Amino acid sequence: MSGRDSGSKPALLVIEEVAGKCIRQLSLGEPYGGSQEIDLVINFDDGTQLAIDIDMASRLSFEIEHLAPDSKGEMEPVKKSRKGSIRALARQDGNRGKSKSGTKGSRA
Amino acid sequence: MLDPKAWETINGFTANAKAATERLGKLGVYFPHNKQQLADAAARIEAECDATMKSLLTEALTGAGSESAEPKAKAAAKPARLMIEEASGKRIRQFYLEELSTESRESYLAVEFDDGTEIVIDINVDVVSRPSFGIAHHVLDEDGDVRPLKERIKGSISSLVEQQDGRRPFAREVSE
Repeated sequence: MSGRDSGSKPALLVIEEVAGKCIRQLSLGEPYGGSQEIDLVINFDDGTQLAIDIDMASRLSFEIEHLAPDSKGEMEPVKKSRKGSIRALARQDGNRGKSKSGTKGSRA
Repeated sequence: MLDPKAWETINGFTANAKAATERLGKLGVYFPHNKQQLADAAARIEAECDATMKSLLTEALTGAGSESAEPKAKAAAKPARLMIEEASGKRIRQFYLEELSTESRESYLAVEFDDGTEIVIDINVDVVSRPSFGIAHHVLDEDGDVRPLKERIKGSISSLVEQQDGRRPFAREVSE
């Protein structure tokens, strides 16, 4: 991942690990109606998975996990998950990311 | 049989739980060191109350022969998964998350594809209303301008599943 953060300006977190991968399935899920926690799961053709748990209880918090099937075919994390706001995660990643700031607001 | 308007009225009772949890959240003014924890707890209590109330009402009203309340409550209580089928088979050029400002209650997840299209999911967490999602599918034209490929859809996950169930390619419900 790489990120960009500058105070109160837009923060951007690029998940570089998935670039070039082909998507088999992308979905958003919630455990029950009105839940404050949802997940975004992307399954890739190479058998790996990107899972992002989004906690919306107060400020948005994201837990990002990369998974791959183990010898028994069960999905296991391939690296330690990371959790925090986009800004906090971007700050951890430093300023290596390319800015996209402000582009999405006008598209929504 | 329960009048549909009666069910709407019952659903309105959750506003009381919401008001209570908002007061709980405001206690953060007096206990600044615990402000975040109080706000988090308030939001969770509200969500749990809402789900529990719907579930219990479903049980109670099932015995009363409700035909309109039961499906709604069951739909609220069960998990929902929205499949974004347009993404299947596409190769990712870049995937990123964006927060516009520290004060913003809205964030974006964007997937750019090798074919020049992109899917943007915006997450809006309003303190009053339920979290909602907008899903848009764009294409970048020759001039680099963004054009919508499909009509943007917006709502909670369960409502989007309900609206789109099998009728539009953006979403369908899967049994879990």
